[in-house]
Amino acid sequence: MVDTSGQLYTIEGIAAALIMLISAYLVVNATSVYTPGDTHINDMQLEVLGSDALQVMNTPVNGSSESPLQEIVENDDASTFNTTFLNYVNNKTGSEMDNLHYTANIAYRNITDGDTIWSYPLASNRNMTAGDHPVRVTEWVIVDKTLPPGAPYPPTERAVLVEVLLWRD
Amino acid sequence: MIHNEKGNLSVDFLAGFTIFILAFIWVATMIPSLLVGLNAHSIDYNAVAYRTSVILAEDPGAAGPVSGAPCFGISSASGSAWESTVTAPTKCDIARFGLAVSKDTPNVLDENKVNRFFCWTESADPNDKTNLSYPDDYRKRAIFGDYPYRFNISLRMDGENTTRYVGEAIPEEDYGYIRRAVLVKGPSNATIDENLIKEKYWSNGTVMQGNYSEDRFTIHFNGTQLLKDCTNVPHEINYRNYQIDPSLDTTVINITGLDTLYYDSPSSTTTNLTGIFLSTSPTAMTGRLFNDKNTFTFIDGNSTPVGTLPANVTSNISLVIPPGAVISESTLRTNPHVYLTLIFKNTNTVPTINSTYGNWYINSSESGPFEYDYNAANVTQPQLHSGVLEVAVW
Amino acid sequence: MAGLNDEAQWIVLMGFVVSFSLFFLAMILNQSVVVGQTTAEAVSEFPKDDIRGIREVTIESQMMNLPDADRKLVQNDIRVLSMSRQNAIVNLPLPSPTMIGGYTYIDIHYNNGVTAYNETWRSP
Repeated sequence: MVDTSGQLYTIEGIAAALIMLISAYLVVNATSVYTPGDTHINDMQLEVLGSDALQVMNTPVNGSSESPLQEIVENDDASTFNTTFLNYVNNKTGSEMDNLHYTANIAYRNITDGDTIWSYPLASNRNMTAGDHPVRVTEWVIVDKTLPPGAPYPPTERAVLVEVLLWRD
Repeated sequence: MIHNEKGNLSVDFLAGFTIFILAFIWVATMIPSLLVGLNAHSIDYNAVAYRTSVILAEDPGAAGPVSGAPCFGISSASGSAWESTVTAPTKCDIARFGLAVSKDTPNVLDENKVNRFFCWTESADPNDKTNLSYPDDYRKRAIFGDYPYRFNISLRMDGENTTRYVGEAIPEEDYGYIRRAVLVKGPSNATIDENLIKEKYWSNGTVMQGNYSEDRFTIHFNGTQLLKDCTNVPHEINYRNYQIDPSLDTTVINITGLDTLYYDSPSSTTTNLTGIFLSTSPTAMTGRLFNDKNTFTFIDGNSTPVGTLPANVTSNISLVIPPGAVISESTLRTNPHVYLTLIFKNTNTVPTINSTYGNWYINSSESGPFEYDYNAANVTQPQLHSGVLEVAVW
Repeated sequence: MAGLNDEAQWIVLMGFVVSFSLFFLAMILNQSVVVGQTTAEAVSEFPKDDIRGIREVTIESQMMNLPDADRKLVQNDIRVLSMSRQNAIVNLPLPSPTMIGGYTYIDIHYNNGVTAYNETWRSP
């Protein structure tokens, strides 16, 4: 006669094996794949470099002049900004240069339109497309300018924010 | 409970146990493959690189004791002027590296700190206290952390081809990296050329000593004005970028065109520089300098400094004064006025020189000393030159 | 239930022990990968350059010796731009800075919701 008295250990063995296999499967399936972009390390490197470049541009070269960035904003000089900023951002210590792209805006407070913030483009190296993943760096500048541009009153000292979006190909 | 003491194993037990063991072995061999991609130290290479770049580019560093052989924490240095051999004569007096000019001027590096930082050897004698060696000295003072990271720190100035670096060659992959854009503050210098001499500092000898006259040319460092009055500085926060501080910055004084001061004589006429003095009053010649330790007086374009005085001078003199060497921080802060005087012995007698001008030579006794200050017409102010600093850690 | 034979429970127990240790290991592995990410995010999260920029532009605007109306204009620019573009509240000193004993004192308050920074700057 078949009876079940000998099946105890077998059943327990099979149950334990199933438990281990299922948990191992869950563990192995659960590890997430971190792409380099997820870690935001490259973003951090770009941000540090971009804000360094803007800060260096906003430092006067000697004690009695304006900083290069102040002059660029006062004269809306896009080509000087382009050469200077790209120079700082793409220079490496080896012989090759890096290949970064940017667009820069000036944000200012429009006193003729309540206290809203308006902005106008300053310079860019390439138009940004949807696939680019930029970081944003900013720099405060005090300039002697008429804002909004074209208003009928003479220039006064104003504080503006230079915003640059920086990305790598 | 009935215990079976016969020592038999039932088949049921064998079957169950076998299934369990097989599954266990299979799982145990599968799991270590999860651990293959895990390397504890490579996770934070980028973080260490960023931290090192902040310590170097944004912090002025610290002079002080450092632990471990061969220093054992013995040092009485303090402050942030670790690049000065007066404050920190040996590497045991440098507690932490930092290249910034001051803590309020991030990303502006001090040239003297850069020079001392990039002067290194590869694994020198462990008991050597003067030369910095890669990697231990840099690990203790810039990289930090328990794991022995390898690194490469490099700096290149715009417009130069040479890159200064510390460390090994960077591997092909898997290293942490950061790049910083920086400015380097250069020295100030004063050039006293023949036009300026003939306009202001040209007169008869002051003291007749037998058949020659003695001409004295004095340069005045007004400590109070140099340290406190940075006029025309637009940013109050980072005035240190533009400050002339002879105790911390290199000071260069060039005197040129000395051979044109004689109208009728050929340029082979020479004068004799008999002494250089440093004193706190314009007339008292009390502190004689440059007897045998002179390393910063260059005459007539020679690249080796003059060893002893008196020495003959034909056309120009350059004094390239390292920071703190002549005028230390304590001197400037306790004595507001410091005078550096050069004494020339002028042996040219009247009949061979233009009869109108006699034996006139460079001389500041009538016009007053040359002011080394923030006047850009006299003194070329410190300039900031751009560069790039890279840190790679692996 | 007195007659149930529970002698084989140790096999299942061992199975459970192994599976729990697997889960524990998985948790540790999961956390380790995130370390690199959170370090980089923490660096970007702290507004170091924003605070430095606000500090510099505030002190510059105060020490430039502008007439009062111009200085108020610049400081209102700073306030509004900072709120709208950097999501930070900046409180700047009253129209004129405090001057005591030949030094100028400027109070700066910055708060972007995560980080607050307060300083009283004294002129050198």
